Amino acid sequence: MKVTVKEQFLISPYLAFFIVHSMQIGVGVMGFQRYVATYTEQDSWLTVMMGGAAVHLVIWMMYKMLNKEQGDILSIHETAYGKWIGRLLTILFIIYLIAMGITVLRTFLEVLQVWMFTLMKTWVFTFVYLIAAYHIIAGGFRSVVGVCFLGVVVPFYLNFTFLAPLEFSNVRNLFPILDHSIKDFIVAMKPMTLSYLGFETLLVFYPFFKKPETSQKWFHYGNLFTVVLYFYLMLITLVYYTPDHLRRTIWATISMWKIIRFPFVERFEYIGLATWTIVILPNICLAFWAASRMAKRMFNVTQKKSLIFILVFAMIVSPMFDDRTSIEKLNMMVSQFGFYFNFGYIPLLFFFHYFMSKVRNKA
Amino acid sequence: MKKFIITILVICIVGYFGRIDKEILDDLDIVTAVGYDYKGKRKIEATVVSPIINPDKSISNKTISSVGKMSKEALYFLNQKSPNPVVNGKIEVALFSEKLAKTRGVQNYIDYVHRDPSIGTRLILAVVDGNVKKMLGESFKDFDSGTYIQKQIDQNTKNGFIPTNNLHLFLSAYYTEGADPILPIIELRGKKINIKGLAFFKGSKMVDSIPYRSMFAFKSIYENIENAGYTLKTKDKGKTEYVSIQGIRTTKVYRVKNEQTTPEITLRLGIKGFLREYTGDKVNQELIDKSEKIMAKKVEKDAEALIRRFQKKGIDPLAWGEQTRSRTRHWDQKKWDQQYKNLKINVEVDVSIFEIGIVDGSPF
Repeated sequence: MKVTVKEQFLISPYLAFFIVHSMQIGVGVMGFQRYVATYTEQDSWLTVMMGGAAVHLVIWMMYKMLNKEQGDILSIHETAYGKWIGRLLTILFIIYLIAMGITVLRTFLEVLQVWMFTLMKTWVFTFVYLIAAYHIIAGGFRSVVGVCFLGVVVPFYLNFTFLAPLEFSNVRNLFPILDHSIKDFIVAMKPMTLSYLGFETLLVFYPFFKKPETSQKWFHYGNLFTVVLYFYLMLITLVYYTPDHLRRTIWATISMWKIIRFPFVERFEYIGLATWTIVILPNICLAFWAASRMAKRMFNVTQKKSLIFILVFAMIVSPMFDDRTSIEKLNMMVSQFGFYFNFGYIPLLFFFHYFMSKVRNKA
Repeated sequence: MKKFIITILVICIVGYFGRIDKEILDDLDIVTAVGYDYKGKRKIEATVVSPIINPDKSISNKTISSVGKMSKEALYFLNQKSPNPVVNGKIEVALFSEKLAKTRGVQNYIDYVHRDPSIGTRLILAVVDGNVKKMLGESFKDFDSGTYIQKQIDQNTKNGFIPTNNLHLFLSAYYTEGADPILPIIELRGKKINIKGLAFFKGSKMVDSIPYRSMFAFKSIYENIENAGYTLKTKDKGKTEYVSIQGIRTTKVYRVKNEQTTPEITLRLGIKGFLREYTGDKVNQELIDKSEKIMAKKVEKDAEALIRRFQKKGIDPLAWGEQTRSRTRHWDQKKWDQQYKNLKINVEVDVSIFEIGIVDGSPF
């Protein structure tokens, strides 16, 4: 079932690069290292690449389905399962998207509360941030993509700051190379792939590309760029921290900034974290945009109304998570769902959809 | 109109509820050093220093001390005693009295500086022989005591014999199985800070120390020296003469044999430097060859003595464990711990003096 979008709302295919990269880099990158290094220690750089390869495969599957359907996840579901079951499953996907947006916002706020403003009230920041998000999303998909572009370009300078820890790093930490069993790598793949989540929003915005098929190339490039960035960060983390030290460091990426000292600024984290506000903006905007877009497609409401509903919901829910344990739990739940959705459900759907579209074509 | 009202409303709400405490630089006690003294079995005394800039532009110290059971408790009492809020963002050094490091260990205090996100990991740690409170209370003209101590240790790390040291490196060595942390020992002598030696830790407790004269040998096998000086004693025509070698740089190559069974480690140490001063009468090739040999022998002897000493004490500040671990598949820490005391570790030193300054032969 083809979904058509008016010409003036379409975007160029190359923007897929920025969308996928900005969506994957969010709050996970602040501390993904220790979850992976628990299993594969000094070989974790290889896990990063293996995880990236798995994501490439899933992206390829998504494009295969979408190219055939020329639509979004709702049309895939309807082809595969029929109208009612298809809609039910899509509702689950919407809930996941909303939860993803809330998780990113709440986790980032936790970091701010720990590192900078201990006494900052949760709801005030959420309120301000969601007003900004509303303003962007109400401008339509094109303005969301604009934010994605800025979310990649503006904070790019941060990548150079991670060279500072090399002064106190030890290359011997990387040896012996490949000292873990294949089983370790497979176990470590799970926490690794969690850091790549976010690309599944493709299932919603696919029809917004001009000549959607041509965007696949850029989408893969975007993911590749994320892999390179994670690889770079992981390598520096591994030479800077010894495994036992890393295991105790909750936000390894941000903790690396603690070694930086400029004559004009004593604590670099303050600059870095302030910049990070722009890094997570595309995450939140795109997640809520995608959720409201799917709601519009299914329930016959305007996107603005569903958006306001979602934002109010987020506003009420996010202050409810008020300590480390509950935020950690929320993160675990959302990423678990995301993991099984992307790496369990999508391949299943891929085969089922392939089969069903053959059947329906014959009928 | 509706939009306007909403905007005003939002600004009011955020402006009222979004406030956090303002911190004006002049109204804060910005701590530059923190020190801990041993005060009885269950009590410690914490001292913090913050600089005061006087109207005549000189800087003096303001120290506050308080006694408590834990590091955090003592620091909490400090806030109570100070008219301004005490902030941690600029702490440069953390000092521990030798008695505290030996009896109780530094773990609690390390945990405090590690856990606080506002304290940088470039923080310098040191052990103080004597009273920490007295040292921090001393005034050092141009700087407050925290900055002064940090500058002196930093200078001695770059151009002297103190091994590179900061909170991050301490933590890495502390958490890793194959290495143990080290810290410099300083003392107050007269009105100046004196570098006294090095303290060695097993876990968080100080178990051994070496004097200043052994520090060159230690630093040369611990890391690559980039700039240091060394004085040699030689005999010339029956008289004792001294050779000063400056601008010393070192390089190291490790070789580990039989890492799966009983490891045997060989360290090849290359020392490069130039001759700057000689008390005898002629600087020639013969003297250079002689000095090179004497220095190589001396460093080798000192280094091996240090290594034996650490093995006997069961500490591993030179990270031999890490050297072996990174060369061994499926490294077994328990086995290593048993083997360490009887491990064969050889040091081979090669000295080359490559310049003699701008005077050839004898000045007379």
